[in-house]
Amino acid sequence: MKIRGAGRIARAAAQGLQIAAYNYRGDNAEDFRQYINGIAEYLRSTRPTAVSLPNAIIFILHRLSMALSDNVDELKEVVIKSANEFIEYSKKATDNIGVIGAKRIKDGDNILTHCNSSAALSVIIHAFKEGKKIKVYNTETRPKFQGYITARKLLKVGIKTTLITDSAVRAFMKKIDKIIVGADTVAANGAVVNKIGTSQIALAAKEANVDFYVAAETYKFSPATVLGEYITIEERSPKEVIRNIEVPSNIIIRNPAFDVTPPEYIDAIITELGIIPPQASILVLKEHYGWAIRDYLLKELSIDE
Amino acid sequence: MNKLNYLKEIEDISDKIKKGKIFSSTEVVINSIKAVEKLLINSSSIEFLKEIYPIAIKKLINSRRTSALLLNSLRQITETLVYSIKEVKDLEEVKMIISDKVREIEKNIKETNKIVAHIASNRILDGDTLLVYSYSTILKETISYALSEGKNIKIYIPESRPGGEGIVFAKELSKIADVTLFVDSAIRYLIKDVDKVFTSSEAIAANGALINKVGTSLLALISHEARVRFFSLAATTKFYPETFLGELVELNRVSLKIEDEGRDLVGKINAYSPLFDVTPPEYIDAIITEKGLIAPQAVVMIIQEIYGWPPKIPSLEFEFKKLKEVI
Repeated sequence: MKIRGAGRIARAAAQGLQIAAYNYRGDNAEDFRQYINGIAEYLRSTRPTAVSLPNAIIFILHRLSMALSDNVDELKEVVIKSANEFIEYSKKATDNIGVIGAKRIKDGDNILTHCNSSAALSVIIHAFKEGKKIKVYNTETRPKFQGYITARKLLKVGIKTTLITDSAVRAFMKKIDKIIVGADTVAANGAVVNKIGTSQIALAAKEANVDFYVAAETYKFSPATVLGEYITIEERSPKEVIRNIEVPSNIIIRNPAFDVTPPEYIDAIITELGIIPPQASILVLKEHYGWAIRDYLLKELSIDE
Repeated sequence: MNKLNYLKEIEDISDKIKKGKIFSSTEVVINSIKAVEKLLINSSSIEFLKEIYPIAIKKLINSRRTSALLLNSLRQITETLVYSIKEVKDLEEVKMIISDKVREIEKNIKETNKIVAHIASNRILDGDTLLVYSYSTILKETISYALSEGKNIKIYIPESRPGGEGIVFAKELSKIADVTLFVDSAIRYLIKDVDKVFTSSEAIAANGALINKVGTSLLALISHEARVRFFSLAATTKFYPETFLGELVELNRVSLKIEDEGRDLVGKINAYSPLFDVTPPEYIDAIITEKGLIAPQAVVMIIQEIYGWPPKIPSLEFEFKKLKEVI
């Protein structure tokens, strides 16, 4: 878990394929395609929850499969170029989300955020740079304290921030005007998979009638969920939870890394294309991943045959 | 010895209570009344108490405005002190009466808790998975009873930041039961495995609202959403009669310790947490008292039973005034 954040993971995967293509020594096109597919499978297996990773990969693989050439150098070029294209797009997307999302922030707003999300921070920082006087509350985000990273980034641009415990979010809710979090994965029904604790913040927000926004680039929408695929929630090492404390070995420690926030608790998803109600996620998926969904379907059908 | 030295111990305990270093609300009270007893025993004259006693009591109460049991217990001691000075006048005898009173309060608290734990354990069924929150001696007793009746139960505990009471409680309970520990953020994710939620209480307000360790209200909201029953254990001495008169309960606040990986942030950001939060009565399925299991909305009935109608709540200030008169 050295690379954090769905966007960075996706870019790292694209970069991984790029490097693999660059390093390929051989002149058989079919062998090259198999080699890239093998690397892609390997990259996919590293992080089961983040959909940005397979999306980055299918973005590149799709372009490779569409290239009809038998020339390895040309195919290499396709992989390298489409990886660059993805990386550029994803960087710009986060910034666009900031521009669009900032319109939702009013002067004087108190904003709560959870964990460390580039997309959510992009919104907050854009609003601040537009001259809106905002205050940020951010959760420490156990077990790994990613809240510190968020606090550090906010501090760097000069935004006043208050760190609170994850357990205190309901107690603080009366002070909060808006909540902005990121996403690891957006499912076809608009449910959002994000850092553990997100769904209970959304619940507390709903109870207090506080707006709850998710900032998510379109490459975080999961085409596989359209076909009913279940999103696996990673459970990580117990050591993250207990850190330096000795506990008896018969205590079971659960450490789910993510949870699922149902769409009815989300006011809107801020994407680089615009703000959508979570229930309209299928629109983004059809528009952006229609071909990917088709690919998945074909794959499934061929298994059935 | 000067007055400051006499108050030293009271101050130390108040400080510990304020910072949430004493986990169990029962322990907070027992430590406090023993400190008051010691102060009285060390006193050289009755005259001396006139000034120092109210200071000591106020210090303790202010260290935890939320604890109704603390307020109620100190009120009892003060009443006894006023009465005994008025009746016996002899300092040594007053000291003995106070010591007896302190023993009596301590015994009552423990006996009442036992009854509460017994009643609560009846609510636990064989095979239940229980989520318990924070650290609580009364909950431990409840679980022990259920286990001794041969019920097979599993315990889920969130760590309970910022104090980490859940970790300490998990360690203790792991000696007697199957325990699963997780971060506070994972409660909603894991609530589907849970049959019932049990918490202790710091205080119960007149409307049935529960004041307890921060995170309790979020837990109650999550339980409510998942339709998991939420029970709070509270002897009636934890009922806060003052709230009937509209008084607001003041919640302690502590600064958050920033771990090593955030060392550069120390002093540059605000980092704090309330020690307690307030759970509205509609999320509480029942409050379990020594008088039985009641709906939170029925708390006012018990207040009526104890303090009359409309409730006559003797103020401590009034007791202090009487104290000055008798001395």
